[in-house]
Amino acid sequence: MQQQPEAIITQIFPDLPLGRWAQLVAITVKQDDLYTVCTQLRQHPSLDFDMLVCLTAVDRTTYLEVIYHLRSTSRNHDLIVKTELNEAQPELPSMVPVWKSAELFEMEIYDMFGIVFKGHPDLRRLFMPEDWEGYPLRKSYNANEVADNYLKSHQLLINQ
Amino acid sequence: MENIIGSQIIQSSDDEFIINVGPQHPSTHGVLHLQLKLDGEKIVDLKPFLGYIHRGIEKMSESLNYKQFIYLTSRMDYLSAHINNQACCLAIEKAIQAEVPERARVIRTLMAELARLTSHQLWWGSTGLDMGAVSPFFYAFREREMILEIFEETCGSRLTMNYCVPGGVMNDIHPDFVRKVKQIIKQFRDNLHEYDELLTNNPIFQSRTIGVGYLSREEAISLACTGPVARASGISCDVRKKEPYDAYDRVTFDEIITTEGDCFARYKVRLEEMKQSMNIIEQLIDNIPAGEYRTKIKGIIKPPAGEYYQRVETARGELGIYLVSDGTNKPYRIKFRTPNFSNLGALKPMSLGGKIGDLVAIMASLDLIIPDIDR
Amino acid sequence: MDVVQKHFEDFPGEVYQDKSGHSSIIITQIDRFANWARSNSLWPLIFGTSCCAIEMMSAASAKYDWSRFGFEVARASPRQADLIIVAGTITLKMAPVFKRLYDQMPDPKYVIAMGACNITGGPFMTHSYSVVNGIDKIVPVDVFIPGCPPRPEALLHGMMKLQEKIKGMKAYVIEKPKK
Repeated sequence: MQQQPEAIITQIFPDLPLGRWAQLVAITVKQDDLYTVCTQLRQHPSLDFDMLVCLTAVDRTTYLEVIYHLRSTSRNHDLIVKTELNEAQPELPSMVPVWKSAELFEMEIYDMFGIVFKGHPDLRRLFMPEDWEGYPLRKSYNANEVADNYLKSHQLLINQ
Repeated sequence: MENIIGSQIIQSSDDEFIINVGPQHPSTHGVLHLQLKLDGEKIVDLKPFLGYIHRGIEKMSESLNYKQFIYLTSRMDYLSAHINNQACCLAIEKAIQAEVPERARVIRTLMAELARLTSHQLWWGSTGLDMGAVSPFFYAFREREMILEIFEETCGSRLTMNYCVPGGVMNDIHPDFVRKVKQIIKQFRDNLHEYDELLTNNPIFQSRTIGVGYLSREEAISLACTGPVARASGISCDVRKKEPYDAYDRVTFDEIITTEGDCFARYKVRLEEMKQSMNIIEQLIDNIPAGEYRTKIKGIIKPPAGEYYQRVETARGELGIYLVSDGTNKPYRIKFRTPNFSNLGALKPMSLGGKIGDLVAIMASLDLIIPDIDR
Repeated sequence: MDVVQKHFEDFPGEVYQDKSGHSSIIITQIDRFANWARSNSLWPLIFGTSCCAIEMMSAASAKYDWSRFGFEVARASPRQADLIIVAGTITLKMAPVFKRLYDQMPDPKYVIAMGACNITGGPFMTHSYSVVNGIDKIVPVDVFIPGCPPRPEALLHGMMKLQEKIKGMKAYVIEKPKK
């Protein structure tokens, strides 16, 4: 069964607000401290979070929330790290030097939300075509009627 | 922005040769587009291009209510469609704190293990087909059709059976279910030696897979690989053991872990998992508890505002569902953490330095389903 | 095709006769022979994108066996195939690739749209931003097979319908289905 790392987290990071996200222990980190906190989480011997299980984002209309779900295979505990971003200019440092699984996750988030990860080796649109405009998973994006416009503009319709 | 965004083709010098594998290719198991930079026949660089089957399931789920989005997940990893539906139902039941009757739990587990068997059978057949052997394909489908008949009689459909609902299963099993499942398991156990004779002990297959595509334990953890890919590299990550759900806490089975980390090890792990699935089915099939098959849930599901997380073990790895609810009858945001998405990251380190023929063997052993990556 | 409406006293429905279908006895015999040969040896292209591809593989395997109808040789290259069974959703990124595959196939070529996704967009018709709602927007389709996914027997039924359709066509004149 999974264990909860609350005690160790409060010991090593005493000034980070601790909470719960879906019954997992969660800490909220500011944008500028994110890289140092994540490197410490990876390398500290009693934490040893060596797997980035998932990296996702939620559009909360006033701000963008980015969520890192970390797991330690040796200590058998999970942790959630949250940051909040401004929608006007969302930027974050890339976690690829720390966990290799971040490469594909960050490309997907750039494609769907428009968050730029500085230092990523190959940041490009992953799912949508290269010349797509807009970020589909934002709440302000309207999903209807974009498909026919794309087909028309690329001369793919049969009776054009 | 220009210097951060990566280019769409690989940069190359004059001596190197760039070819495209896919999107339409007999061995890519779907629409996966790879660009390879070759030096002779050795692979120097590899770049995957995705999105050819991206249907926007996560965005669509925000416009459908809680009972409707479950059936879109059948189309993500369609070979373990039942397990995907089971994960969604478990997440919703966790959110509304519904009690599932014991009979429904056991039925769901039985169908999940049968789905895992069909998925591994199809994997075995297509592995043989990729290596050039055509007979394993027909042998695998012979067994698979028998199980699909059971699915059709119980759920109504062969592939995308929408059998799980929040609160239990949609309909009770028919009276002949137990006898037929026992017959299939007995027949499959008797035929399993044919699988070994055709592929496992075949010298051509062994020379194409032993020592090919090595993935070390540290690299597999860093890439967040799960499922048989990680278990063949020595990581213990079976969700059915770590966080048992449904009826997995009352069955005993082994978690198959090897340390070689090459294609043959992944092959052997999946063959052994088939045997363990049959053990689980045999333990449960005679003791299906009597009772209701479904609890009554309100017509409109409105979980309280907050976040919920559930993970299950599909045939390919760990599927995680992150559900963010704002108190209305439609989900605010759903994220599917699919196993194939992270397993794809292991393709590049395993194939660099090898030949193109090894790339086909590695893709067959990774067992990727591309709609699961693209969602 | 020129069509003229005829009236029959004892038949209650409407009858349309194709004027241009009148040919000499030699051409019709050649047509019959060529259509018989073509319909009984259609070679499909291996093109499966998602779930319907699994039911296509089931139709190719031993229980439902499509090779008894002549579809034995499934080719990987579009230059050697004359039937494309579109199994699986076509998205916007895949649409130019699919159109290029269709253009590379030599005439006479036929298209079967398998599954609900290729008829109208299927379960992804509304609220999705990247699915083509029906491939008959991109290519002319001969046979539509409904289902999600259609059973292998439904696929065989659709293929046999295509064989009947070919037997009724003119063999050496390219006839594209009307929009």
